[in-house]
Amino acid sequence: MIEPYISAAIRQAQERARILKAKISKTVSAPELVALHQLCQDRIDRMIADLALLLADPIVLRKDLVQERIRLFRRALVDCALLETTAIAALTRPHEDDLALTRLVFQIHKEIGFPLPPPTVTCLSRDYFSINTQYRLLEVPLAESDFLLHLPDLYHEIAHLLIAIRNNPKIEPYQNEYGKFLSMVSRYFDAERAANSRSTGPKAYIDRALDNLEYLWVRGWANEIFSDLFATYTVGSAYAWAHFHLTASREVDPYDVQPLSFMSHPPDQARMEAILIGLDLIGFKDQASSIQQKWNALVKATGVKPTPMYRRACPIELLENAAIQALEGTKRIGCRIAQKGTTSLIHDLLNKAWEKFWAAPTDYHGWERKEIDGLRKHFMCT
Amino acid sequence: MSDIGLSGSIYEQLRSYADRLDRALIELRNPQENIAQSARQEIIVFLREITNLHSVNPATRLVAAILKQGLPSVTGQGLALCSQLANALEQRIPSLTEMSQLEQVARALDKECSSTLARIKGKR
Repeated sequence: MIEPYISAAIRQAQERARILKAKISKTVSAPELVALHQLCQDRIDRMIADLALLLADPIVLRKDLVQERIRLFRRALVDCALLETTAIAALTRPHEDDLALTRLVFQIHKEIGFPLPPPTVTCLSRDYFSINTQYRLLEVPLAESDFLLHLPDLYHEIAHLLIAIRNNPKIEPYQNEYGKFLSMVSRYFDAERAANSRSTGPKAYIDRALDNLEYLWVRGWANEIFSDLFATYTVGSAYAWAHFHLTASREVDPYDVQPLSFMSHPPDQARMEAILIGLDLIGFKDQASSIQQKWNALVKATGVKPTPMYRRACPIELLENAAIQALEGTKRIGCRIAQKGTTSLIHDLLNKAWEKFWAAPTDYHGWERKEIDGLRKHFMCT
Repeated sequence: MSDIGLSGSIYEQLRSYADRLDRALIELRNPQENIAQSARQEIIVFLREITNLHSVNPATRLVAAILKQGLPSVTGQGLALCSQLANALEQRIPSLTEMSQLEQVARALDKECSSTLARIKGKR
């Protein structure tokens, strides 16, 4: 009954994919976009081939396999929609800010010895910094290329590639350390569940909370904290300040843990604790202490306090282990660890920006403007 | 990374597992014995992979965490069911009940893909 409709919808999707391909079949405006352009072409070809299989394979067309056919078809549609709204949007609306930031990320890639090809940057983000690991497309808000204080987040974003990219022996040591940490998370929650079974409290509620927290850690919290730590290890204290800056600007309780609800990201307090442990590990004890003081003042100013569930969800032992495993992973893939005396263009600029900001906040904007103009000239002329 | 970015990365990992299982479930019904047999092997490998408690593969651990809780008929025991299914498939062609349980695994992954996609689109 429904099969003719599905077949017609599949043909429509194939046509949409072909039209997308036509939209990007023009001369690429800059060499930095060639890789993204090729990747889009390849993905569209693969989508069309996958859809053709759903249209013609005699086994797939069997009535008893209609559920599988619909699931595969819907996911193909999602691929097409995501490609259209991210990578193809970036290719069809290039801006000189995209190029400047793409070149800046390339510079970071060279400075820290990042073992994967650097992503393309687009200023089309609708929700802060993020990276589309599938298309290696780093998305930042439109005005971000005119400011320096959030740019340490670029190091965090590229770190997500180290977890997402598969079958690359060069980054497997990092992924192994990450995998070991995930095992540690599961062991921690197994032990908590065992302790709960012996307790006299609300067992069922705590069990559900522990199951949910374990799921949240494995789903995204561990990934975020590892990426925070990678950024800390490769750019140094500028990343801790960027996290401070982001938290200060958001209306979110840094200790907030809703044990039975969904939380994509770990609490900001846990992220800062991990970052400071990381800074300490690489020899920036004094900076960590200074950031800690300002962080405490920020948290105090918001009037929030830690809850018992916060520490249960984010135990210090997990944060310490994350810091150790992430450092080991970062070293094992050959990335440069920031230390006292480390010097390079972007590393120095982003750390200096925060020093200037704290030393003379009122003069900072003028200094930042000048530095941004210089940087833009540097990247647009090279 | 923003929620959208993180969800996009998770969606990519999940959909590769979801597609892999759906394709294997299709081939399992192929009348050509060698194709069906190879699909059966593929499903066994899939189930063994997600029930391997020592795996350090992040994507595998994510799928395991989802299936642990996400199979409605065996809440909290999802991995035990996957393990039993792998054992059964090693012995023989799956029964109707086992086929229905494999479908349940595929639906659980598909449901997680859908909820992750909703987050990418900004729906909470």
